[in-house]
Amino acid sequence: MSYEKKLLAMKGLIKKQPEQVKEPIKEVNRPDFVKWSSSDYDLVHTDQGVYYKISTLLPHDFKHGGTQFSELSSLVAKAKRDFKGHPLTPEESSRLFFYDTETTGLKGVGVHIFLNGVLFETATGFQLDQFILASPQHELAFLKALPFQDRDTIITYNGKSFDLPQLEVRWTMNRKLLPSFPQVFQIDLLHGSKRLWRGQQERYKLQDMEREQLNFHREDDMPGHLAPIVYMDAVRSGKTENLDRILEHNKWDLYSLVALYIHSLRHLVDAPETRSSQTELNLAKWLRDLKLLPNSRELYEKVTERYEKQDIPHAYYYLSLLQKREGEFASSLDLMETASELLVGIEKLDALIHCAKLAEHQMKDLGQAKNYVQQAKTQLLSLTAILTREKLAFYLAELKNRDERLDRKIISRESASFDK
Amino acid sequence: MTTISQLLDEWVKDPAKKQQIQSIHVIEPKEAKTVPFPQDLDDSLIAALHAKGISELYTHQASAYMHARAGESFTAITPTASGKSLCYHLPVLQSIIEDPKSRAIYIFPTKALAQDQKADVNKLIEATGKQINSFTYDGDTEPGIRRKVRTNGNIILTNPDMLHSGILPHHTKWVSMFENLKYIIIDEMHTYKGVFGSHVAHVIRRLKRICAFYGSHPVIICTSATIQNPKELADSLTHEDHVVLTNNGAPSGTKYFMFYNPPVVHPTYNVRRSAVLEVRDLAQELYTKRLQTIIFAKSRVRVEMLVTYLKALVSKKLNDRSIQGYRGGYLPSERREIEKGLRDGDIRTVVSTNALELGVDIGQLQVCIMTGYPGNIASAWQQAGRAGRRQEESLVVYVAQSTALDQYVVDHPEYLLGQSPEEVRIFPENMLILMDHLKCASFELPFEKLEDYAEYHVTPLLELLKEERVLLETADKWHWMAESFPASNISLRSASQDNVIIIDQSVPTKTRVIGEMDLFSAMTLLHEEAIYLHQGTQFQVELLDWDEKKAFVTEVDVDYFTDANIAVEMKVLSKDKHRTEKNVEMHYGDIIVLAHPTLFKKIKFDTHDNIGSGTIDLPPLELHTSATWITFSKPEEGNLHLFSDAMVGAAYALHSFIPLFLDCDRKDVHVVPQMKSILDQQPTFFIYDSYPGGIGLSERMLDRFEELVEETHAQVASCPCLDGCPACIGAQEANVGLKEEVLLLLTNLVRD
Repeated sequence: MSYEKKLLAMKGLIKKQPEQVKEPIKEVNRPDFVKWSSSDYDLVHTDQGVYYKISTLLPHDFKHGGTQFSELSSLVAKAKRDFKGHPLTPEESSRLFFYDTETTGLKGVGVHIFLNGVLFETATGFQLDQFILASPQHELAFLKALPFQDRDTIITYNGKSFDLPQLEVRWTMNRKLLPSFPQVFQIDLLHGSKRLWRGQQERYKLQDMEREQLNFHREDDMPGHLAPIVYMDAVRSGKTENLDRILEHNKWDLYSLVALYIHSLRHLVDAPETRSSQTELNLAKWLRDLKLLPNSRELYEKVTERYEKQDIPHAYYYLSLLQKREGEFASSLDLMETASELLVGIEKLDALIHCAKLAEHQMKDLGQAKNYVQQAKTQLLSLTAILTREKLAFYLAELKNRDERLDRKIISRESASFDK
Repeated sequence: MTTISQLLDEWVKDPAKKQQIQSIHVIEPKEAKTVPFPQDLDDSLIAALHAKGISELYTHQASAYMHARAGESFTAITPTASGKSLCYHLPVLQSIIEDPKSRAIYIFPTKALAQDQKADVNKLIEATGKQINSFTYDGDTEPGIRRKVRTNGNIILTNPDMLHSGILPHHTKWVSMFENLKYIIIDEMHTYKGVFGSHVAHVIRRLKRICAFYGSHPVIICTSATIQNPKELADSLTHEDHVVLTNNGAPSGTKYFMFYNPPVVHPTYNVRRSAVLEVRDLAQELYTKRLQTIIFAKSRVRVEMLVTYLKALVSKKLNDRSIQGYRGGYLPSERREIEKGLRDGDIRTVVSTNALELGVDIGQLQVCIMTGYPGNIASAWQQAGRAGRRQEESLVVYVAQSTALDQYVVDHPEYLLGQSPEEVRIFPENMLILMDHLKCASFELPFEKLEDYAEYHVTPLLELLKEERVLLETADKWHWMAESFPASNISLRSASQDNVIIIDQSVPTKTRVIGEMDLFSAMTLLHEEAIYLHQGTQFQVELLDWDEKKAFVTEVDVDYFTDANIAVEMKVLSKDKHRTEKNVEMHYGDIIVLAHPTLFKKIKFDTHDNIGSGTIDLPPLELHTSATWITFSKPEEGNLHLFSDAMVGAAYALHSFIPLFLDCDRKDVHVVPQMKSILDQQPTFFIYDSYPGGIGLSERMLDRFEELVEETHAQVASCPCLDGCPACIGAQEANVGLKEEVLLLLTNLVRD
């Protein structure tokens, strides 16, 4: 019988109220969760219910792909010393937890988190705790098992948009029985990766990062998108073979998370030899956007020393802007001129306009400024096909105003000298 | 400038117009009934009202305030422009002034209306000088400000669709709103009818369930145009006991209601001059006489047509904006400007779709013209309410089209003017709709064992969802345990789950969707080689992809139309109600309609010659729905070889008049005649709902069948055509005498 037919056949069963008093709740001897077959899972009993847990201990010198976990603490210390306020740098005296969830769906309050994976450093090494939801009925115990407290730092991959909001949903669903959600700091390595390796990768899934940056290859991985059906099957059937593979998948995710954090910090604080010019530029720009200007300038200077100028025109451009802020106008104009020679397209146009500004306002060289405006006009004409109409109008007006103002200034200066 | 009475004098003396004016009715003026502001109303609100020139409240506004403050849900029945929105703004704003944490949700039937009303409420808030945040929250809300809206919005203006798929399934993001929700406002309640209304009834139930979870029990305030069953509708829509407030205290001036029937241009087929042309002529005259006029037309195309015609009047003036169109699809800023132009009097004529029926503030105009019957009495009164400045005379002109319903109304002004509008029916019990929302509700909050869903005991349904592996049963609850997001698969607006999309591929590089059609109609109108008429243009169906539900059509110009035969079989599944009356037996119950298209004919225009035919190769379609069926014995007198044709004609006529009783569209119900029903070999009419599972319409016709037959008989009898026309029993061959046969048949159904 089709679903629809079954449904319509039930029409008589759905009685509208008012009806006779409700029957008392029948005592059904239903187990409140399905006991799982695997013996690897520890069943933890609490006052609020049960959850399953697997703990894995790792030595300090554990290696994942090409990354040694023992590097973590010194890198974190350096970041705290030299890069305070950077999104990759944890707050002082905040505990670090790497965190990754598996869920039964993608959005909405009907989605359950069924696996919380938490990895942290201990006195003797590292520890991975995986908490598994025994049944939705036991969600409270499962959530309470998480170690998070106020001021902890939670390191995730895309956790700002996914894992943490999901956790907050579950928290809110049980809010009457839980303390308020802890005020935690977050470090999302997806954002960091997109900044550091911009222009060098097409995709930024965690497994792309493993391949491109971490030199790690998963073998026989159960893809994450199967996680929902695997769990839903396990919770109904009690069979855990496939769930074991999801746990394995989650474990790799967490190991890669640690490795990727170490790798990212190394780029930030250590300037490894392997760092490419593109990554250096990305990082310098990132620091600049974060207003960590001395760090940014230092890196730009290093880059201009280390690489051929035709490979790094952007470094000249941004370094020029940083120097201008510091009042070093002559060298700023030098750098910007170099940038304008090397850059192409709209970037060249912008550089020429910056040159014109510097020449006019700071160097007071009106003739040179006029020259830059002229070059900029030529460049603009070559771009008419690329620019949107609004942009084109904007640049045209900008150059026209500048040109006219320069002409006025030149005339008044000439007449002033003539008067003398 | 001419006054309304001068104009009427002129028109009734004009020999050309006199003929067409079927009747004029006068609605007497009404004094305002006001009372002082309530004692507890905050000073800032009183100041804001004074600033609007309001020094007392109308009686209905005052009782609305009183009920709201007493925590009683109510429904206010108010005509257009009677200060309806103050019925809810005042208690809502008062509650927020008393406790700035308070929240309210305003639900409007459309996004555009919510955006329009935001301006209205903000003006009032500004005048109070208080810090009260009101925001719209819909598909257009920028992602960047959504969080702000969720956490800071005192008043959220939204629509049922957004509530259904954007708010309820994410309720944890709205904790502070749900915890502090004091009022739910459902504006324009009468628009929630049929399938859409039944869906919305469940959205409201889900909303209330979530409020209960967060510990709030908001008062529900509905406003509605005049309908026959406001309390029943409000109670059923909100699952709450409503008080109905009808003590409208707003004043009105004398209103003239004119019924205008265009001249007959084709006597045999009883075809009248196009109402659009007639309206154009009247409007031109009103424009030159400087009477501010609103014209309602039924479609966007007609609005544009009329605007084009009328703008010819001012084509010689530069930048003249005194004649404007107004319809969905205009930008909000354009609409604001038109509304302002109307209030200021800069715009003298506006042509609108029913968009201006609903509560947009455009002030009051002097004349309202309806191009054809808007489909139900509530709409007609909403439209008529647009004319009538306070204490001044106003005129409403109803211009009839040639259709059955339009002609009925022009002949029976008492139908419109009498105080018995249609019933608005919803049917939340429809199992498919109920189940859809039960899924959403389970997703939003797990059901406790033995928890009821609103008024329904749903344990068997939850069991079914468990079997379908959507829910997981634990010792105390039913948990959602599926990967899907149920709200995204459920649309509140589509009448049936899958419609056939009609794609115009006349220009291969510019294929475009021109419409959609339900499956049942598509079988007969969109089969391959069918000639499909779309707004007067002929298209031939080139390909009907039944699996993908797409029909590809190309524009053609041919001199024939196609007519498909469809074999319809009825199977009765259960008989739930029964009634015997004189000559007929009536049943109500569940049926299966099995429709199987067989072949189609190509029929030449004018001569109606059959010039070809073909087979239709489509699988039969099954519809499980509810129906009322009427069985009677074959009459002894009359022309028996015409009997089956008479059944078809009678079914056509009965079908046309069902909307007189129920506020529904003609396509929401079907009437099918059977010569010998499989039940008992007797002639039978089946009246069934077009939507799977039934939507409660045919059930009502069980009780009102005699009225339906009487009205149909009277209208067919008084139709001036000779042999039957589209306005009564459908076009028929001449000189056969079928019309008499149909009348005889109808008489037999209700008389001894």
